[in-house]
Amino acid sequence: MSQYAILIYEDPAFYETMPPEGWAAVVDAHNTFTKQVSELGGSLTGGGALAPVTTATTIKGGGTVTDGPFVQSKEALLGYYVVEARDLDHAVDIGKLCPANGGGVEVRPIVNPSTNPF
Amino acid sequence: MKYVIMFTTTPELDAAASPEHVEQAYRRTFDWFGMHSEVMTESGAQLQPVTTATTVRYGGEEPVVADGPFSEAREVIGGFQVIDVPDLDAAIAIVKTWPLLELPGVAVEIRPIVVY
Amino acid sequence: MNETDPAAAESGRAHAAASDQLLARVIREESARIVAALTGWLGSLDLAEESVAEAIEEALRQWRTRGVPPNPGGWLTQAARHNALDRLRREKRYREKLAMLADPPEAAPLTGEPDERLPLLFGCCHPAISPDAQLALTLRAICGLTTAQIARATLAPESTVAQRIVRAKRKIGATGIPLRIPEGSERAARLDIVLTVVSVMYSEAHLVAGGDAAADRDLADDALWLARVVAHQLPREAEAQGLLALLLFHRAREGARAVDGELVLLADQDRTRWDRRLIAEAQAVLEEAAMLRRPGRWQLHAAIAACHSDTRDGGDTDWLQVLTLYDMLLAYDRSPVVRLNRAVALAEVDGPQAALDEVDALGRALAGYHLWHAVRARMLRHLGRRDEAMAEDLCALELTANDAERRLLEARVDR
Repeated sequence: MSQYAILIYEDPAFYETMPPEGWAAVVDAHNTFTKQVSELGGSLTGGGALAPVTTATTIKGGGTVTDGPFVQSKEALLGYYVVEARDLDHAVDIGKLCPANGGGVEVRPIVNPSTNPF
Repeated sequence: MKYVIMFTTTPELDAAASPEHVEQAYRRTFDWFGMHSEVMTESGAQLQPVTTATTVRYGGEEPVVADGPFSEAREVIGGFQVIDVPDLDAAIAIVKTWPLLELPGVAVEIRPIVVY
Repeated sequence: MNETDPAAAESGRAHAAASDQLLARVIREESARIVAALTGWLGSLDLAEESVAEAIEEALRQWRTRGVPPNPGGWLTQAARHNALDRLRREKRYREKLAMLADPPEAAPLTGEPDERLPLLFGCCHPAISPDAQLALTLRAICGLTTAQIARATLAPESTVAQRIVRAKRKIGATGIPLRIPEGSERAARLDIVLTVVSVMYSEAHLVAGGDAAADRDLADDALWLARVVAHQLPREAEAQGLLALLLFHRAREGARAVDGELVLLADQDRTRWDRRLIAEAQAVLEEAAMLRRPGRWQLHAAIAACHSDTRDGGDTDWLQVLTLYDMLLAYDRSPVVRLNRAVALAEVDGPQAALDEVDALGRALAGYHLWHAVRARMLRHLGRRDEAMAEDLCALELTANDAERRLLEARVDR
């Protein structure tokens, strides 16, 4: 088994315009997803929801602190999961079920600390 | 408060640093994690290079799988770590000592984690 | 317009209506203290600030016609507290908080207590907040301006200002930006941001539409007031004293700088119109700062302003001293605008060609800045290159948004 990060990218406007009922549905969808991961034979080892991109603060070389995200794009990273999966295909199958209706997900393998190249 | 700190780079600017400098700076990241171990939570990951990314895009009837990162931005995320510190200033103070900040194109983005 | 309002007419007989100046003075003395006290009570800057802003709007409506009540701080605190409780009951996201509240604070104490305004000010001027929002939030939470007043004073649409303020407040809450005075190695850099915001506030006063539009808040007054608060609260910070001295020097020249709505260049200003009392105060503050032996850019800016204040007319300026101070300033601040100002001094010491070379080197950074063209025109004129000078003056004219500055440049083009 290998570890993969599922990075959730969505257009922040998708949530800003969502009525409160919609929020409850999103939480439900994530709860369903966490169950589906084990049904698919994978397991979740971590995850988190990030506060909106308006709360981002960026530190650059020399210690400069600025308001806003570093990565400038229409879709912002709004959350992530870390999953154990057999291989990339397995991880992508899991990723396909991850709720991200306002955009999509990126699946990236994680560097295994025990085989870290440094 | 819990914050995710995202280690990001601009690959086209990274090329300007010498491989020795990059390696030496990376080595010091281990000391950095050790030095701040008390604020590090279990959640965090160093991602493989962005060339290993696969994207699942929604919007159509079926999710579309494609090679490459989701975002077309020049900046890419190389890893992230969730830390638990009293406030943003404490997070900034720790992040300012991140060894890779001395490389061109490197920046760290800090965002609070939502607690449900 | 209040003549049809019987209540206002009634009380108007008993109290004098309050002038804009009086309202500004009273409100800025109270605003930040109440925001700080309510933030502590409610645990939310967003909610506290909103409630105080609302109270200020009410106060302005009432006091403008009925006069200022005997205890304005108590009045505002009461009104803000009422607004906060109202919001807590009305808005679902706040309702849980209501049960957890301790007894509300009484009217903020005016003397003796440690001043809560500075931690709030450092929070408003946090580097994780964009510069535009730092200024807008400081003007509202610290100086007590309404959103409409900020919009008029900074030439920004009201909706933009409102959005900046809401975003900044929410960011402070959601991101965990602490409201405290930074200590240790962080202090100097964070203080510099605060001082920059105060300085921008002062400069904004001169950029108001037309330069002579009748705004109901004079940002220069607010900036000078805030510079005093910071300098007074941080007596060991030489740079805070330096900025206060700088603004005092500028304020002292205000009466000669604009005469009947027309701008007068420093060299041509009537020195008898300068406020000698303010100049003396500025000099004393700058000397105090120097004794702290921690030089910095604001003290150097003030020292340059002091050189000009020593002159009896435009002809006896000690330009070598001014140039030396600019050279020292470059060690702290190499921004193109500082280098442009240095070029003006350089022209007086080394002649217009040396200065023109330096000005030309700044072209890439400052080509969109009207004063770059104006300074370049001056150098060209001194070198006898009249046609080029005229073209540069026209460029400057095209780029300036300020009516008073435009008339000054027009007069030069006509010559």
